[in-house]
Amino acid sequence: MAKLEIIDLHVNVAGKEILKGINLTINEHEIHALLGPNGNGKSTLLSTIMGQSKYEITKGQILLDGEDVTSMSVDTRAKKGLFLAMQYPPEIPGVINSDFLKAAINAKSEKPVSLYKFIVELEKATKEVNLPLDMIHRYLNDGFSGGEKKRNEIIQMKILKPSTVMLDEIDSGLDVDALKMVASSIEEVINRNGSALVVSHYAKFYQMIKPTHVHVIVDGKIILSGNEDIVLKIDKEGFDWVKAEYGIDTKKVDLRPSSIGLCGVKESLKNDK
Amino acid sequence: MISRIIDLSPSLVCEEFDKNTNTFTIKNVNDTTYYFNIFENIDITINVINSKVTIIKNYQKDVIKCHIKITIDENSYLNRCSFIVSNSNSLSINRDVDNFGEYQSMQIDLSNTNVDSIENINLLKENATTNVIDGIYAVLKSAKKYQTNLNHFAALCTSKAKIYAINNDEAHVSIYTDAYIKNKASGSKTNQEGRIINLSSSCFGIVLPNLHIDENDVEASHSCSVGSINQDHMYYLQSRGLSALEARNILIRGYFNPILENISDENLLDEINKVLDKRIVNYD
Repeated sequence: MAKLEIIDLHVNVAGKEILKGINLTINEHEIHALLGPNGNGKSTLLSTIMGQSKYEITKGQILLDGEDVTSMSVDTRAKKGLFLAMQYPPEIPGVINSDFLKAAINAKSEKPVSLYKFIVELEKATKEVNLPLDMIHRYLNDGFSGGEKKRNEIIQMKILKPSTVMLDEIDSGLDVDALKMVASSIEEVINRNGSALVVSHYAKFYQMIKPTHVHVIVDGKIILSGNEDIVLKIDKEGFDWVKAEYGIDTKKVDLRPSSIGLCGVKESLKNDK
Repeated sequence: MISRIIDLSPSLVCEEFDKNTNTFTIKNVNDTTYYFNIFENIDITINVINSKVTIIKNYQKDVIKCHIKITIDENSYLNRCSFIVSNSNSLSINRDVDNFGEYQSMQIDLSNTNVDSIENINLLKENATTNVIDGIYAVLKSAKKYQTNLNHFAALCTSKAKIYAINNDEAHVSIYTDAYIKNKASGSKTNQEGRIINLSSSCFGIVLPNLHIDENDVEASHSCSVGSINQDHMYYLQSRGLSALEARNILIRGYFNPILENISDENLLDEINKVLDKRIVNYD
């Protein structure tokens, strides 16, 4: 089972409402594509599903296979089968890639994985994503290029075998061959009765992964759901039609006050008010 | 590789040790590791002449005061590593190093007690190099003060200091690093990096890297950070199924890895890893 249900999800970040009532159901064997202009809540949705504490859920529920995971810790969600391939995986100097992966496998299994089995699986996954073998013995993402970090995310996805995967702009920094590899890795997840939620701006990538459902998120709401035709429309026309058809302005205006000057100057301006 | 185990004390009897001057001389020796066990307070001189050697010092539990003077000649390389783990009393270490050659200084402090360590390193010959690497894990109410002075007296010398500490409970860690580039020490390079991770709200950490430069043509840099465990790193590790505790422990372990990777002696590395793993797990 890999059914993910998002029910009327509202999320605040630093006191500002970013998600304004998301409803979404992803069943097993389904690949959902999530599109939308920058800064409209796509990454926030994925991170909130994963349990990132920066995002405050003010209303709504997240169910995984019928179980409410809304208040569960990040690691519990991961153990239940959720996986997020991040847009910007952090660099963690000192933590050796392979040691971390082994610890992650052991955290999910009842008895520790045998060293032989682990090495065989890790080498296989590393070859499949076309990453040099020595990189699995280096510090986690430390000094990796953008593409190498994304390949490393896919290695983790292959090794940890999650049931519901979320990929946040995994295509950025990857060449065409690597995109094919990502598409086949998603297929592996689907073939073991899994599901996927994919964020990308790249129509060619969606052609490779063949999403079963496509959604457009604008201003924290899903305004449109349908099939792959939506991807083609956005690829041709961008998001300008959203304003015409739905009356929603997709161009964000940053209302935060800005100032240029030294800290002392800013402080005195504040005091002048 | 040859290994020699020596109980370093004023009553030591061996051909390298001169009792009258309290001097241990290593001359024309290569690929040798000296394991110095220090059981009592000592004031000793070590001379390294035309040699490439490693000295591993283990401070035993009753030691409270050590003064060690080291001279490394221009044809020598000394890799010195001290391991402080089992001390029951406060330990004061004073080390003066006259370096004409190559010197790597490592100190791993996993003890529960106060440590006051002062190392004065004089770079006295053109192209002399010094690399200081310290790893500290402070717990309970221990106070650890590490003062490192890197004194460049000759041209084209290089010094680096990388000092990392983990601080827990009500411990106090102070890391002071001072590089003095004297007049005529042109072309010198120095870099200082001090980092402290505080695991509790009751501990205290301070890093003060200072550059005192009296010459124009030099490359000097320093950095310091004091803070708690990076929450983005915690989130990333937890998103792969590691519990908060497992994630924290793997990050602490990872914090020491760039320090420990400089230890080439496998026996010492095993011993340090065992103590470190125990320390990390015991402080769950």
